[in-house]
Amino acid sequence: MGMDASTDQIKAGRIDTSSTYYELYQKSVELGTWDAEKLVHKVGFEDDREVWEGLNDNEKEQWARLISYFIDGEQAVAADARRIMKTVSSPYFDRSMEKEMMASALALEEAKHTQFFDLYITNVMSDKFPQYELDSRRGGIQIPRTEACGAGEMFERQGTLQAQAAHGGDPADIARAATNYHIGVEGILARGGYFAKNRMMQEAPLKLLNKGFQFISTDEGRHITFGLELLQELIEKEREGLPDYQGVENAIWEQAIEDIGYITDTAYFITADIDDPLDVDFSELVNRGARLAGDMMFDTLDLDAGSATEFMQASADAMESAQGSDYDDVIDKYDHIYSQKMAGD
Amino acid sequence: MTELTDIEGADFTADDEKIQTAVEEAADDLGMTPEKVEEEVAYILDSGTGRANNEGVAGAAAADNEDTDNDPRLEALEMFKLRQEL
Ligand SMILES: [Fe+2]
Ligand SMILES: [Fe+2]
Repeated sequence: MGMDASTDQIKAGRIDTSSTYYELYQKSVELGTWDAEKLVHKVGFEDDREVWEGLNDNEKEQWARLISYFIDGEQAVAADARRIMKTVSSPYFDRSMEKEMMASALALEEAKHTQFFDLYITNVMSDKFPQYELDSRRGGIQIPRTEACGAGEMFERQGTLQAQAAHGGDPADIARAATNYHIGVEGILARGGYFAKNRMMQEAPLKLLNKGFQFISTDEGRHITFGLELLQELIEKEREGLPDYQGVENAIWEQAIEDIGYITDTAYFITADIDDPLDVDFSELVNRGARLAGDMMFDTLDLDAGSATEFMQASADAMESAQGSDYDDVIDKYDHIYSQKMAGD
Repeated sequence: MTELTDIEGADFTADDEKIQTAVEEAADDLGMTPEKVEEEVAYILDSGTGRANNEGVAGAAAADNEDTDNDPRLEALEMFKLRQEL
């Protein structure tokens, strides 16, 4: 990526201020320390509530499907941030200090994203969320909508991959975890969600929600750059021929192909499965996601494993199989489990 | 970091002069240098990559923000101003 650090830097000793990781950390301090409580106070819930009340049930359901996977996804990435902090201190990376600084900023931001969606659901969308209060990692489960679609499975997979990477994982394990988290969840699933919200906002302009999404997506941009930098470091070492690093590119490619299945299923779930009342367009959403993936893998990372054409094919196959999905029974099942868990607590 | 006027990959509808004026006004209001404001706005859009890939800002806003002519740079500047209040 070859990013130049800022020109008028203050001298530091131990910290390498010319590092891209340092730049990402510093920009997180400057841009990522917004206060979610102040944001909701400043913009207020009133206008959003009015727009929300004017929507019909299908339109509300479409928003609820999108926001379900966001709140559960934000909590999942926040919970796994501790593992990223551990992974970046792995001896397979030459330096760790600036990476750890950036990972700590990421952890704070993911917690805040979870907080924002929690505040928003509670104060605007609660009629469509009879169930969302349980901590999905402490004896609770994800929201039934999340559990029913690919996103739910993807977040669980993320936990496994991050644990493997953090607990003495080799470079291929680290690459797989970073691909799933930074390319898959943040780079495609979340960014695809922003694409969807932009379209849905045209007919349902939820102002506060849009502001929140703008701050969140700006934070995510730095997380994605961070992940791509990590992957680039591992790829460079593989290309230098270092034995421990062989298999990194393949791991990235394989994980991306696995993830496109979860992501495409989620795209179908929030659009065509409910007749897309707010006009997102399932194929355009998937195409946008595939293009973002192509940019990251073949433009930024210049991956030799796989190709953009093969990726588009995998994405088309995923579209085919998503269209056969039926989510209602799964939602019902988890609805029941969720109620039991709520009653038990 | 990339200069605001060198960022690729988005539809920039406003002319560079309009951007410059808006940046200078914001800098004045915020008590910052125009260079710093420009740097922050650019970083909002590209996260250091040189390409406007911030889907949430560089895409459309809530039913079009008429104050920003839908130019992602102005939208990002609005966001930065709000951020300074938070
Ligand atoms: Fe996030
Ligand atoms: Fe993130």
